[in-house]
Amino acid sequence: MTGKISDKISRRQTLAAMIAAGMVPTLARGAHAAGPDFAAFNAGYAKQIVLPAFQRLFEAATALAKVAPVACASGSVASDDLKKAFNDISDAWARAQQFKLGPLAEAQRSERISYWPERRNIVEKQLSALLKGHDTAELEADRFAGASVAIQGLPALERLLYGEHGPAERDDARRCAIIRAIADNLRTIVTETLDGWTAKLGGPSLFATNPAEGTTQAYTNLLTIMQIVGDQKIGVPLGGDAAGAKPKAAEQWRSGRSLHNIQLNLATARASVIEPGGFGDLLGSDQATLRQDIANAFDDAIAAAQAAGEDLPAAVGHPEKRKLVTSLLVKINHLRDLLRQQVPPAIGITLGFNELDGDGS
Amino acid sequence: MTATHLAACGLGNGFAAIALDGQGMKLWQRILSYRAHDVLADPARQICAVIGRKPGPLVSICDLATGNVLRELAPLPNCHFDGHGVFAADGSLLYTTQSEGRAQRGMIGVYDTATGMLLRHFSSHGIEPHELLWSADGQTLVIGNGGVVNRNATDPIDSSLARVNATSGALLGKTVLDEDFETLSLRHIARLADGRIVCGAQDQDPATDLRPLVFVMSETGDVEAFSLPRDIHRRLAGYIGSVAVDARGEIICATSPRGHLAVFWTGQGHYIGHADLADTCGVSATLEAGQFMLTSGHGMRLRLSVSAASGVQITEGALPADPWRWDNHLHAVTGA
Repeated sequence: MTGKISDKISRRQTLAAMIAAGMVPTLARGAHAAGPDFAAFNAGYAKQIVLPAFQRLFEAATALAKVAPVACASGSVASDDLKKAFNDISDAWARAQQFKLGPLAEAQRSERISYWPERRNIVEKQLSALLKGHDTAELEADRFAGASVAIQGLPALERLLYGEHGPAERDDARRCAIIRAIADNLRTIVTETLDGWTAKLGGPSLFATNPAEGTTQAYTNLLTIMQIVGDQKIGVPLGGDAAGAKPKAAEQWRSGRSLHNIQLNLATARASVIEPGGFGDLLGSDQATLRQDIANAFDDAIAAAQAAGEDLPAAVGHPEKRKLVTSLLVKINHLRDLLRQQVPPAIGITLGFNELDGDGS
Repeated sequence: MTATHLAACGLGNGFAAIALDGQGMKLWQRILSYRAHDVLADPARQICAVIGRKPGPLVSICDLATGNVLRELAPLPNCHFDGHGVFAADGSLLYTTQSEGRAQRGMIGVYDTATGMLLRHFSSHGIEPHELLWSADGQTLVIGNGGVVNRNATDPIDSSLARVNATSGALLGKTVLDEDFETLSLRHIARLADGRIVCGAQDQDPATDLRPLVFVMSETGDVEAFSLPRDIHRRLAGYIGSVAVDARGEIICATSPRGHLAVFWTGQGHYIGHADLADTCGVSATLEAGQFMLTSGHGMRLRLSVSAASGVQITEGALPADPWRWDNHLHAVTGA
């Protein structure tokens, strides 16, 4: 596969003029070859990279929906079984979260599965109100699916199992009914997502209007999850110094999953580039150096995420341990630079930076 | 030839400012050491100002005909430029938005464009000011105080539209949205022919509600939200990147690079329609009534004719692509 033309197939006819005018010197190397086969890439990416992640998520959601009523019936809402099911689906979500194009971007599915980061303590406010209520109709599937995203998914479930509304709180029947509503709702959302991807299998453009745009969207998803991991999952809890650390700004801190989620996000991001079917397939045979640089940068970031321990909220406030988190952030930012600047022209896509960047920071 | 449109752009892994002529051809291209945001013209003095994107290290004053850098402006102490500015009517002064320190206290720095000297500064009466423009009286600056200290954090924001006397720096009025809309950052503004101000917002928490994103503010500070069809509203993804009005000041355009579309209203708030363009953000009027040019980060340009009677019509398609990745804003040179 030749992946050096940094433009889309639809624009190929303009390349000659651009190169002749000397406007795009870096394009000249690959200008003799046809553009990358984005249609074939998209089909492989959907099947080999994306679909397994949503199949795992579907299995985890199905298991959670089975466990929830059993736990309720046994009178032990915060049972080990239920916590395990919660952790399994959280794992599966961290492995699937990156693939936002298509079904997850529609009907607010991504936010309904996991609304995060949370603003204005809205999960707590909405969940408290729901717990105090007695209306069973608001927990029925259709209504619940249309409720605030703050109570529909994993953040609300985490609070019910680990947080302020954990086992010590009374009125288990109501709490139990909410847990069941969340579990059923998650299974529905995940099923819709898997069905959406299954229906697109073998298609040339993923969910876009043409193959090049489909690949571009999938790659933009990779940059977005790297931005979320670097800026939101690590940068905000880390703050400027130990005094400015915000441990409760870490994701899923109640269940102690903050760093584990980051490790899983990185593993998925790596697979989406390095594994068969990933973006690395679009690199030309003469791109061995870049290929190795990317692999090294992923390995370094993943090693740093493991070295940072297990407890991100504790580490960021600790003068010594936060150095490990800072080191992780440095590795991730290096990886982001590489993925953002060097890979897109090498695999033949152009990124829309207005969509990604905003007004600055 | 004279420049009709100016913009910042990405070029390779670097950045540049670009001027287009009336035929849409490149008049000049200036490679920059920093990423710019807005580029604005003062045709009377044949200069333009290239404003550094937040956190902007500098502003370059350039020759409008050639793009040659004439002088560079430094920010106030402990401040950075926030991407936008506005010339005084006679072009001798440039007003720039800046933020100070970690708290991002909003400042307006006033520079002599002939010497590059910082003449004075005053408060933006808010946090993290972004776009600013003249109100119809020519004496008052309208400032969009974005209010976001850290766009990754979940802290409450403090956004407002401030009306400030450009000479004294005195606050004449400050518009803050209702509590329901407390997550909206008011950042981009344009002025209608009747003097009202159009404002495009960015929702810091778009998942929890479908909040309005385009408002019109009267000269006395009253605001009205513009509505649009629900499916289009959802597509905006809680994010307006740029707003513009047409040459007559009667038709409004707002772009959403995250939703990959631009939406249009009449000045009375009647929704006209939308245009699709991947990663579109830059928009400006052309010299003819009802006409707009959109730009995208993929190097696309789209010319549109928009009216309440005929809707949104593409007058010139997006191909072929430019080698420039058009950045957030496109500026129309008027009165050249």
